[in-house]
Amino acid sequence: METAKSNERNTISFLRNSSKVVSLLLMAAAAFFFSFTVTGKWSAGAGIGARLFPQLSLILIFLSGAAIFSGRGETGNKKHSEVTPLRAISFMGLAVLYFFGVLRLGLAVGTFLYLTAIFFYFGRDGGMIRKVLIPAFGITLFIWALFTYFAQIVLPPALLF
Amino acid sequence: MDGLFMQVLEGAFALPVVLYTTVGVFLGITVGAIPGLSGDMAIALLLPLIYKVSPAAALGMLMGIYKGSMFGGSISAISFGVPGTAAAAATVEDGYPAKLKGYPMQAMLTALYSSVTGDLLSTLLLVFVAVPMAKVALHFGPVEFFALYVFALMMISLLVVGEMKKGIAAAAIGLFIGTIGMDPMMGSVRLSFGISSLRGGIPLIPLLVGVFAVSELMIQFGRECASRSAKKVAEDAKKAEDLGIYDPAKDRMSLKIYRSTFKATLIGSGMGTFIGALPGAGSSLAAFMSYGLARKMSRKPEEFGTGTLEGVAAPEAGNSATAGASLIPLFAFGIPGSATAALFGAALIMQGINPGPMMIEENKVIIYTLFVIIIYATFINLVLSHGLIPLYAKLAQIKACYLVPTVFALALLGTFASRNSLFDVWVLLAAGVLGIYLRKNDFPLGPLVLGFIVGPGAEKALRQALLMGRGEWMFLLKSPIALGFYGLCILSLLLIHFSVKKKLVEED
Repeated sequence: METAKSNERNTISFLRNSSKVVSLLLMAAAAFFFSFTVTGKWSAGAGIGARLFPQLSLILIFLSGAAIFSGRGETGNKKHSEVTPLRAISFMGLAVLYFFGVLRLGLAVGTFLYLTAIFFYFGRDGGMIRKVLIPAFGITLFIWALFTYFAQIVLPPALLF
Repeated sequence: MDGLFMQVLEGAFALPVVLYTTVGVFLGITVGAIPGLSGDMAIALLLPLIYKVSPAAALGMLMGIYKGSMFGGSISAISFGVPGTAAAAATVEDGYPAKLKGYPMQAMLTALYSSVTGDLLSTLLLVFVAVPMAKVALHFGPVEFFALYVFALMMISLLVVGEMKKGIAAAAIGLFIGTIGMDPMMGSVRLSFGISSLRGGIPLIPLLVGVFAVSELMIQFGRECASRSAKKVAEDAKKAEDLGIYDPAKDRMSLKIYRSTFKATLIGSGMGTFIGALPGAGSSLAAFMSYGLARKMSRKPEEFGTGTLEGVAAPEAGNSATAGASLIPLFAFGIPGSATAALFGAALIMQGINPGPMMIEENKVIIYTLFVIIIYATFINLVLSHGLIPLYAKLAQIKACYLVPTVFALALLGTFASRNSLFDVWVLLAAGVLGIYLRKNDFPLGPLVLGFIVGPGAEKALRQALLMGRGEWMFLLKSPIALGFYGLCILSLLLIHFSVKKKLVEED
């Protein structure tokens, strides 16, 4: 019973050690990609081939991963703990939605809707018009002017302007 | 010669070039003064937008941003104790206490003058050293170049703040990502996994914007809207109330004050120039080392940390002096010495200029024009910053909840617009995720980007060298110059290893 508990404690402490986990990931990724460099049908070239440099860089990744693994390591993610997986996924999800919004609805409308949604989430307490709609409109105008007027960059046509 | 001189002057002082440079400096000061935004991020964001502009104007604008942001970071550091950029972190030590003592203007102007002095000295060194060094590099062959690449990558990985092993791992990841796509010698497609968009390799701009800007924005997004700076502003307002009425008459800058900080400025300039010229050592390291050295060499070291202006002058001169010096390896050998220099390298490639020892020889007019722009951008920075200090001291109060979505929209649209490619947007987001994962685990991002940029050059040099040596690896050690670079690698590795070991023993 005691041994089982101790094993469990050791596993938890190992998983909490971010350096150890990252180093294992690095080594696994290096080994995974290395297998592609061995089987890839690339031209051998004269003397040495196309596979040498990727292999060297992967060996370096593996070795540095092993060095990190054997080091002291530190427990827990002390840096940027505010970026939780949920927040990172929300951020990326919003980005994808925004981008497809721009492609479907157009630069101005897509940007306005995206900004309004975010400002509403963060700043609705200060008043809908003053803290949400006016800043969203102003920033949309700035972005629209920057891209279409100053930089004259043509974005793909969408349903709305 | 006269023809070249006139061409350079005409190019450098053409109205659009001056305007773009001025706008760049203005943008640089602005992003520098806003905590969370940095010059690197602004340069990365603007890369997709500048390909339509002439090389001189585009590079002038980016240089302006770099110079402006170096000083801009000190504005919020002194005003609120929140460094606008990582490079200004050392300025907080004395800048903020100086403000609390009732001398904000003296502190800011000291920061500005020291920053400009350090920047100017290092720029002059760049102008006078890069050309002769490039001439020496013309005699380098693949063997020497490969050794130089190894040396640069080693220094980049070793000198970053944090664990050396993580620096090396980040550089190796960058090198590996750089090998995806077409092989530079034979043209065979590697590691594309059947994705046709990967045949051309990972695009540079989305990778840069993703790693630098998106990961930073994700961190800002993760923080609560009431960010640290906003809290600091509120705390600061309370402290200012406690101080009583601020007396502007006592807070005037004078030549006497500048002279009293001149020694610290020179120490910072020298240290910043030296560190800036080393591949990989960034401006924040230069600022902290300048601060430490100035304290050691000061007549009143006990006053450091209490608001002495020497403590403002040294780090500001130090971080700004890296601006010109960090471009020396890029201009002389085509190897970027810092993340910012890597961004400049990317901008040069976008403008059709290939960084390398032949760069100056093949693009004399544009490179000399750029040298002139770099010098006068320093003076534009001086004049603009003077006018903007009172106004920009309030910029740190902009809430992150407005800033983050706006900058992110610019990053996303700018990346897409550069090639009208949806694939670039996916690369941007993937690079953002990679960037945040590495940052959370304390991996430096600079070596990754530098590895990615110098990777193809290093591979080409290695394969050419091995072809010349008929596959014999010992051929790489046949050149005395190459041996010298490898010797320096081993020496620096040992030095850093033992200094870290000593530190750990002391800590235990």
